[in-house]
Amino acid sequence: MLLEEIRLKNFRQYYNEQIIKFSKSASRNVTVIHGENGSGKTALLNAFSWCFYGKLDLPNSNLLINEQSLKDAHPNDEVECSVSVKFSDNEKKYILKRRIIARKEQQDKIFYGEPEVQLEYKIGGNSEIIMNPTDEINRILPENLRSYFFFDGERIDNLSKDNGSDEIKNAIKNIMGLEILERSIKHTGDASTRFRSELKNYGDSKTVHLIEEIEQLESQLKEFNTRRELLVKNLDVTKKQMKEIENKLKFIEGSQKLQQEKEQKDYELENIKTELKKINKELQEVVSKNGYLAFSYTSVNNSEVIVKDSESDGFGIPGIRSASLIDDLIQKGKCICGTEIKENSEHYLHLLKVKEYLPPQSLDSAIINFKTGLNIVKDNRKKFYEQLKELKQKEVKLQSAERKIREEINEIKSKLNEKDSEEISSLVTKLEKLEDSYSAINREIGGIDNEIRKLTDELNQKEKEQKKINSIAEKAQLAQRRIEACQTLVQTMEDIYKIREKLVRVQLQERITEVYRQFLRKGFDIRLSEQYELNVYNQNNNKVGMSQGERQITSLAFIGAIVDLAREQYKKEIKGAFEEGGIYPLVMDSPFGALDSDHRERIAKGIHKLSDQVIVIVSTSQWRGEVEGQMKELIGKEYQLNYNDPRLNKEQPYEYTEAVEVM
Amino acid sequence: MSIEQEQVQNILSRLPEDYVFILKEILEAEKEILHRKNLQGTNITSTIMDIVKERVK
Repeated sequence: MLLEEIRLKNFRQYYNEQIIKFSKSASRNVTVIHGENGSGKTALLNAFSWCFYGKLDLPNSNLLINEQSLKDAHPNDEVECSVSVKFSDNEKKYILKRRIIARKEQQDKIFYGEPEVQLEYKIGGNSEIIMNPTDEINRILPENLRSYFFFDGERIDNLSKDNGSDEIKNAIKNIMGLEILERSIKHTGDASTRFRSELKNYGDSKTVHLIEEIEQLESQLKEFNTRRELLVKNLDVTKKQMKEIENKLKFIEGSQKLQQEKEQKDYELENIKTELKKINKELQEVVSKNGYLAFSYTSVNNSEVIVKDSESDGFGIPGIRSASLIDDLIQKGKCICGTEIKENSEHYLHLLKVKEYLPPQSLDSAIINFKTGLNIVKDNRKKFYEQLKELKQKEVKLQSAERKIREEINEIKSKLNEKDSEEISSLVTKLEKLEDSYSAINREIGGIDNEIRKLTDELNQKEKEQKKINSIAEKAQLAQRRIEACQTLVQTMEDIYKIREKLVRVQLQERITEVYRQFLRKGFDIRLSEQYELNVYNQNNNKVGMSQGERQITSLAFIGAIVDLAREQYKKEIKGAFEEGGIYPLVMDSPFGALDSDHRERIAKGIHKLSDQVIVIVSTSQWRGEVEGQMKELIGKEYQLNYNDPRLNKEQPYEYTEAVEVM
Repeated sequence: MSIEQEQVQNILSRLPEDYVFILKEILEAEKEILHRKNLQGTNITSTIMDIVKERVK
């Protein structure tokens, strides 16, 4: 999708009609719109989201229509406020227009109509109105991605904060073709359930009974899953609320120091918990691999007693178990001990003798080997106990450190509680309540997970039973085959999903790292976690707390990487079924706001490479200097937003903004 | 061919031919309605059932 132009008519401070055309040039893909504070830059960004989705993120969002245009109108006159955007997508040209009509009635009363939206498209000279524009718009530029492509530099730093992971996850799924698989899995599963209901009409009583049981289990499973989803959302909200309170406590003078200490302790506690999990995993592995050694004591001892002094003829050689090995040694001319074996030599004759005394003639070699085996078992047992002891000691040490830190955290909490400030104590009380509810939700999720596991096992069992029933009618057999087809396909899609998800994560990680290194001066590492959380690590591999500017850069790197990757997929000559990708514009308001001069230069230098179309809305002061220096040669179109100050212009004593092209 | 494509091909090659067509048609049907905000009225489950019925007779 490429934007061609935007027309704003009496929209907020844009008086009459203002037109901005965007550059579609490949070499000069940047359109710059600059203006002073209050000239309507953020209103322009919002004009896009209002036009596309009817969403506005501005103060006094009900005051859409330009004030002066309403003043100019006579009673019974109608005033139109509209935004229309021309854009192209897949060789189709679209015009999207959203408008609202206001009628001025007597005594300056204004009657506002309902917003109307119209989407028209042209292909090969024919033009057509699209009946359900919302679907088509969502197909071209999904609404849940609007904050990525029309982004507000002053707010965008949310992306790299703790609560950004859901947004990140959805954006990735949407763009990278994972959502289509996810939905297919769900709906094919639903189809399978419906086929099973059909089966009930044809099956015998046993089948019907089994199906009813399966349906009941499935319904219980569904209920648990729904409850779980809700709880996970609640958990997320609770976590956000806790974070907000903790942030507030950090900014109140009386609690600032203690809260910072608490955060440090929380961080240490998290690290210890991670270490403990690791130790537990190691313990499990060691026990499951070598646990049998703990039970070998009696059998090894008894065996030792049995084989003690049982060698009789002195022809046993350790390591030798078969005649073919002896033949092999003779043929090679070298013994296990390294001695050369020549025909009729002492060693040669000894080996021949040994060969004669191999089991069953003599058990010496077998006994020697068995004794060696016993010693190995004893050694391994010793090592196993040592390893176990070491891990247990580590575990105990970590547990005691965990207890200590928990006590310290409780101590800090009590100190916070004792603070002689209503604000602090009320926040601490709220936080404690939230922590309690967080733990309760977590426990409930644990319980539900357990139930889900049990139900899934039971369900699998019943499904197996159902498949075994042969005495079913022809129609029932057909339904059964269809169920099996659906189940196989769900399994296939789940397998493909896993592969795709892994690949998307790797590709995105590579691209984010590449863009991030280009944008950020410090040698930090950016990593996308399993939960799609963006984390930044310093050279010592420690997670870093970022400044507002760094968060902004992190988010920019992420958005840039997604847009770039989607474009790469779109332009691939041979595409897989899920590699749709797409061309997306980047419309950025104040992307350089919180950045220092060096970072502005870096972003300005690199951002145009990430998308086929970049539209930068920027204050004049942010534009002048390094940003202009870097982007000058890339500008295809440039506009200046001229704000009319009523105090200075006595001929037009009202506020309005004009968009003037800079030639 | 990338490793990922190979893995996907490997999974698909184990499927009966009819199932591969069903899978393709399901994905196409889902793609049609992918960007709908609300799936009500799309009958996607019925569409998938029809796709399966057409191929598994």
